Amino acid sequence: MRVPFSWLNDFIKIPDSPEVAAEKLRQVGVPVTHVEYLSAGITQVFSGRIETLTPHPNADRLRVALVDLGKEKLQIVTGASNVAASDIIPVARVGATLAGGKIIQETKLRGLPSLGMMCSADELALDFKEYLPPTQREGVLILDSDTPIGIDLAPMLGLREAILVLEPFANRPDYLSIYGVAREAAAIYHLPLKNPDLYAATPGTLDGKIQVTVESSQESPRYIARYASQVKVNASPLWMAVRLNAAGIRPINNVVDVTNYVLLELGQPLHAFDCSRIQGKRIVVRQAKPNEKMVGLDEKTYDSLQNILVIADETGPVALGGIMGGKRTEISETTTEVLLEAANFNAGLVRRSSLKLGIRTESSRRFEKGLDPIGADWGSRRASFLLQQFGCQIADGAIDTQPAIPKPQEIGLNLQKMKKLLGVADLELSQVVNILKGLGFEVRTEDPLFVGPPLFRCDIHEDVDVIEEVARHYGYSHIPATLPAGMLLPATVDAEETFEETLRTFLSSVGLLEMLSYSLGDPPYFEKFYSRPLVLIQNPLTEDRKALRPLLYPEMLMNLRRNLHLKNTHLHFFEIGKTFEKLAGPQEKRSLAVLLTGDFPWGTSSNFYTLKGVLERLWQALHIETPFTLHEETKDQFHPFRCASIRHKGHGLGILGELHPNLLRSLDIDQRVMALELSVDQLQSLAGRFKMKPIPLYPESRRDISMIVEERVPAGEIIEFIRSHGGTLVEGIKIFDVYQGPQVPANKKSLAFAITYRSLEKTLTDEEVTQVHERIQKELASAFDATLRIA
Amino acid sequence: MSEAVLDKLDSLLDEAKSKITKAQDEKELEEVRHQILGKKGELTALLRNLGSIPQDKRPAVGKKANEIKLQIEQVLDDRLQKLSQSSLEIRLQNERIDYSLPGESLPSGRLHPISEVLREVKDIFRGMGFEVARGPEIETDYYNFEALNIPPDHPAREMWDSLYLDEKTLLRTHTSPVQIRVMEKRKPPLRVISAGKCYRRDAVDATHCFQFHQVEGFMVDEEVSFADLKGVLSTFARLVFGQDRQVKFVPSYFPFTEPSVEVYIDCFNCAQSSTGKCSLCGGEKWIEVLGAGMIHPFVLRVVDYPAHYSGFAFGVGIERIALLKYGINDIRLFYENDERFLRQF
Ligand SMILES: [Zn+2]
Repeated sequence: MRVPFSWLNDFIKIPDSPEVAAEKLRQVGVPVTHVEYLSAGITQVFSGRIETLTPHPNADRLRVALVDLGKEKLQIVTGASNVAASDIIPVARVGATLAGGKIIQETKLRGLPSLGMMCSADELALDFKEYLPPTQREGVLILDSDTPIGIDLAPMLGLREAILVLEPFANRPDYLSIYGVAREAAAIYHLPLKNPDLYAATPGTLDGKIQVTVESSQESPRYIARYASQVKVNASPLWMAVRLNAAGIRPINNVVDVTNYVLLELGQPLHAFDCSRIQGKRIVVRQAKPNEKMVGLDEKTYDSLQNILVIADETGPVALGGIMGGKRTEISETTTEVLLEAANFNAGLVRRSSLKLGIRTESSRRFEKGLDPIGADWGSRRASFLLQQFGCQIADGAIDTQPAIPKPQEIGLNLQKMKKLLGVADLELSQVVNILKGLGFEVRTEDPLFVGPPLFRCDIHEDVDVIEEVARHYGYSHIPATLPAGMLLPATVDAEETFEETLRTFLSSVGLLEMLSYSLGDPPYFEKFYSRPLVLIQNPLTEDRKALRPLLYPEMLMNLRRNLHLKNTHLHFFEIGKTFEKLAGPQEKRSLAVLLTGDFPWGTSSNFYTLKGVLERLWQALHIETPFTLHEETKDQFHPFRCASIRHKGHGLGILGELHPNLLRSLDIDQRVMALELSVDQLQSLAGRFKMKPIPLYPESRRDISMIVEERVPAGEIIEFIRSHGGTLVEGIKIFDVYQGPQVPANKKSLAFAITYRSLEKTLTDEEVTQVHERIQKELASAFDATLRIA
Repeated sequence: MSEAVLDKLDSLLDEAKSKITKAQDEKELEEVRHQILGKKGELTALLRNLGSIPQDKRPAVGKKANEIKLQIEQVLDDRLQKLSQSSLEIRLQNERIDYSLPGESLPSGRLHPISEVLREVKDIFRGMGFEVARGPEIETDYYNFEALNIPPDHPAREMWDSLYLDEKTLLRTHTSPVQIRVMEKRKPPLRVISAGKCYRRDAVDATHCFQFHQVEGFMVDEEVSFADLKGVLSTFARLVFGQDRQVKFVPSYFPFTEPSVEVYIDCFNCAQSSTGKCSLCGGEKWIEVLGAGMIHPFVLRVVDYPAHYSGFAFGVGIERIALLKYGINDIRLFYENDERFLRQF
């Protein structure tokens, strides 16, 4: 909503600058975002009448004008071709500033002095040129013939006009009007509010001219029709066009402009029908019938009107109630009689219809927030007043379906409760009463306090709504700031959140960078990774953000890819977040994923084992007793021989592996990428409670085993064998060498293990260790058909 | 005979002293020690011959010999001390380093800036006694809207243009549903916050994204007042943005709070922007940081709380806090995950 400051001042003389007023309005909750200026900096432009216009003696293209400015007459030499004697035009006097900072000076043109300039729309920085007659668009602006001579044109042309730009809240449709904002200003400044000039209602009926039937007063509580004849459709006077333009609505013609002017001024949407085109001289406000359609003012055909409220004549809809008029009864140059509609429509109905039709108009924006029935009366009479000013004949009488307006429910207020809720101990009853009266509340009784909200405040329902009114005009800044007293409660943290934070801390401590990727992605892309049904958005903004991610790493991979294309080549990312699965309904899961590519700062390149190392460290960090196991896994998106499922006691927890080169190639990635994805929900259920292990008192003893086995024998099986057959003295087993090459027969590999032996009770002797070690060696040799290499 | 031995001892001392002084490093010195005091050394040989000296002279010569030995040892030790000190000095000198060479890379992971800010915000409220709860990202229309006083067809719904899974299920548009979920299960007094991801049907640009993070909090007890709301949120704003910030409370509108308020801090960037409009506040001098209000009685009625309870609730946009805190001008940076961006935090 754009509120021209001069328009606001039609109703209240604000004693402050626009900026100060804007801040004061903001303080009471009128959401002024900023102040903007039109035709900023333009000064000293006055109205003048061309008395005489004669050819320039020395130049074919120039003419010499004598311009009457009231107190003085100026000679101005002009090149404009669209002016004629007796035209009233804007004159920039010597010393005036025009658009772009141009300053007018006294000059001589081909020998004749020129003491000013006739201005064009561009020179005055007016931005509604297309509304002007073609000759005026590039030439001099010609003012209405009844414009007084010698007046400062700033107010009329909106020069230096300040616009308060508002973003009104959904509960305050009254802020979508100049008058509504003026009402708040009046309450702030304690100044009287001037009423708009209204057409004085006259008794009579519109019998013979038009008939109105409203089928449901639920859907349309009030419908007021007035009739105007002797209408001449043409351009509005400049002042009105300027104001509409300043407030953000393009001028069209005088009749339509009047309805828009009232819409902006009072917040009441109106519609003007060309009455001669209403078939049967009778309109019905009703639900649309099946198969009915209407071409709107926007030239579009609306043919799905089920459950839509329409204004219809004998042949069908002529307007969509509260939303838009129809093409068939549009005001045109040939219009001579007008039916003026000022109605009140059900807010929910307008909102539903507007959503269904996919159109939001200035009208529907207001109706859907709830308007008061008085507005329809004021709107109708304000528009009639203006039409009368423009020479239309307003017929006596009106059709009004709700002449008696019920008083709003009165609300009881407890001053003590108000003081407690606001935390203001010294709030006086008189202050409360003054504030509420200033806001148009009717104070029915003071003790106990009962108030009636004004009709235009459809948002006031119960005592807290009134308390807010008091609070905002009392001033939020005057309410003290205190720290709450009360029971000291333990500030616990949700266990899931604590666990995720533990994971974050751990993963970043091993050098991984946290990433936050989008939860929504492209269904076909996700389907490359996930074969079960996806959870889909019904109304996605774009198709490529239609699916909720079933896994974390696919969307992370897109981010990794972007990084690689930006030449960030060594990347170690993790993410923790929700993934979504479609079971009976959509299910949320918590997941953790790691992506590695490129080298680590200390030189090693990312490979399967670095990723497995992360997993091993994680197991330690979470104190999970039973180790995870890896199992060969074949998945299209992974390297066929470098992919494993992660299990714990047989339960699948996730997947680990190198991504398939084909997948990477399809994404334009030309380096190896490792991926890990794990269920956080399951991980959390495994995490153990930590208990310190005693530090051993006796020394360890290390022995190595070097052996040659078949290359397909997994080293892990050998370790597991040593662990299970070694006995209680075996404390640890480490692989320190894996070798295949010239010194080892084909299809074989050499493995070297270091075994540490330790007793918790004593220092082991050499003999004791050797005995166990040799037994292990022997058993290994036979179990794995291994050749032992004795060092 | 004993005279000759005594003379020999004296000359041995002189000789030893000169040899010791001439030794240039610890190795040479060790050789000298060996020559004199070793098993086959000169002093040792002399002492071995003590038997040839008359019985009565022996104590005097023996005493003298011991004195000489002690003296030599003393001189040797002094020299050793000196030599080792100077060799250490030489080593240290040779170990001079170039301080300007870069340090070695160590593993250095980071949290995402959003996670960092979430932690900070949660810590601040925990410090004021707020516990941390959480709720699902997929919500029902009831929790996301209806229970929060936003019935179907309510014009305020457009404040939260939503992504729907079906007619009654959507991605939560704020973390406020957690308020209802907690209050349904528990009785006051309550001080609770919840943090998490939310979604709106917004196209992505520099200031909008279809996903974002929010921390929602609320407090319910007997006699919780608007003044308490001001106290808690001023404290929060100053802990995040600095103790010298001014905090302003401006009336606003949310369907689930009444009265409602927007909290602003005075712009901390205006002073730095020397020319033209401040890029942070657009010349308005104030920056909005969060929305809040007294919990609407409708909401308290929904969870069947008796009328003598009151409370306040607030919602903090985490991306917004991060933008302001770190001087980031484009929200997309958070979700593009450029390593060069993430490494900075
Ligand atoms: Zn600023």
